[in-house]
Amino acid sequence: MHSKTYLLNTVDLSKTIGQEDYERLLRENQAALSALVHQIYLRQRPVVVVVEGWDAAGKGETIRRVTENIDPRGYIVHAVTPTDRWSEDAAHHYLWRFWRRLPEVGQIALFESSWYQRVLTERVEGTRSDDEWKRAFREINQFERQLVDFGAILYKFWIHISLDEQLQRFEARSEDERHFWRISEDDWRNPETRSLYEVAVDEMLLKTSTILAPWMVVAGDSRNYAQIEILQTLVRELSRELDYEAINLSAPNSGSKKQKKSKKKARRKN
Amino acid sequence: MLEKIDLTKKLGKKSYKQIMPGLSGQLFRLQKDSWDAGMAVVLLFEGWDAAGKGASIQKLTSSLDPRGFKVYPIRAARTFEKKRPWMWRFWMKLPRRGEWAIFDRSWYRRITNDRLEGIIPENEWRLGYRDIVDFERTLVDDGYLVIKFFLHISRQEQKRRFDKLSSDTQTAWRVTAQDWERQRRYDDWAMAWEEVFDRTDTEWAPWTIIEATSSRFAWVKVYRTIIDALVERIDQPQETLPDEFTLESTRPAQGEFPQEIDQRESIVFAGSGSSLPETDIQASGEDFPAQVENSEQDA
Repeated sequence: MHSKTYLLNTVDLSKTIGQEDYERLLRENQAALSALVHQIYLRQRPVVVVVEGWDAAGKGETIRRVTENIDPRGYIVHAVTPTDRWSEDAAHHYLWRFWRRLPEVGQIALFESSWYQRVLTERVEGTRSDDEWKRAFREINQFERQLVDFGAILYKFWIHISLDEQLQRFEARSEDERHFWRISEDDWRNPETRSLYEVAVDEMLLKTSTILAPWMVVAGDSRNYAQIEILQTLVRELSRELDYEAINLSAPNSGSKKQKKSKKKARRKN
Repeated sequence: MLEKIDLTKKLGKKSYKQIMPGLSGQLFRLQKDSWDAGMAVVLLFEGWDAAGKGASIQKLTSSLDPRGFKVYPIRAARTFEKKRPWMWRFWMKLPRRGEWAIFDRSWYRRITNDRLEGIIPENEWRLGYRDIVDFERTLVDDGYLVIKFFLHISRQEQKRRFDKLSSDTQTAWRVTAQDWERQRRYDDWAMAWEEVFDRTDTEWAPWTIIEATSSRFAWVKVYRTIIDALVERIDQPQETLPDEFTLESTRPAQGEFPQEIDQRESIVFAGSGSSLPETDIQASGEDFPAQVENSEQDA
């Protein structure tokens, strides 16, 4: 049974990163990732990245940092929203919409929100019967096992933020004209449903963290820290999986203008 | 299993003509009922070459509303289908709720053709049993109806049919060198199929073996099996039909698998299925499947 301390409560949310370090690490890791994406293509491995997290945890922004500097032919991002009642997706088993969005070999698919909605939102909001979300744990594990059996590289991130931080971000959004549209009435219900979601997230982490497909929980109260953490994890794990050292590449944006010029010259001479 | 099937079963033309129109009409109405109920139906036809899979499907679809079903002939995976996990191409062919998908050959190619023709290595096709059982259970849990047919004919009957087809210039193209090769290895194939039945005959998706020596007999049994399964699932009172043909009389002998199959390590299923008990080729054993160890501790 569940212990009273949820897994999430053990996450140290005070972690931050200085602006200078952030910029340097962002550049370095983006450059490394760019090289790794080419390796993924050369080795013909499919990659699936799942980004889940609380509302306003920074899922979209993190994905943008991941994809910013990589070849757009190599990846596709799927934003997962509830299905429309009459859509093809709703006319099939719920995993069908994810099967059909699986990447080809050599490609990366990033899911912002994912098949885990079944055991999170759909469970907590009561849109699914108990049977449906309970058997989803098994179905999801079977699904992910088939991906890994096939040779897919699968990473799952949960970006964790505190309720206080979340509410602050909502406030900030609602005050800013540019972000005003991003917040809905439902979002303000978060404080009421937080504890229900905590139970759901905890069970999800326990039951779907398999050896083949473990969850990685990221401290997200500092946006910058979470982004670097996820980028670094991707670079580290992909380097290991592909047995390819990409860490020491110089980033395309790094170095002074002077250095760049001299590099260009050198290239021309060749 | 297969050697216990009585392949001499026949159905006279007269009785066939009496029975078939009723079955045909009933099936048509049940198709509409399944549409209304939003129930997806997956029908798959496996069986020996020249056993009559294609003809049975053609017969079947002649009774159905074409707006409600799709037929998928399944061949070896094509290049683009190999770029994703092997089940992907079958997931993509699943019917919408309320619709039917009819497969001429199916995911069982993985553990028959791909195995015997050495297309994929053993460690890969071995996983096929598990993936298939998981897949079918996932569908049935979600409200799909899965009906699996194996059309059975003897080696002699197959040879007779090949000879007959080859002797006519109109039909000779239908018998290929590959068919003759498979005919030569009939016993190997029979063993592979025995293992398939042993491991994938589940409570939620049982196999129905059709004695296909007489096509009239085979078609009536196919119709009756589908009708029974639909009636049970849609929960409507069945119309009275002539007593001449009952599934009970065609039911395969139960239990007692050949020795060599018993000795293999295998997944064991709860044997007495609640669905379709009359047509269920029952697997032995009482324990719940071992392959769901992952997350069965749901409160």
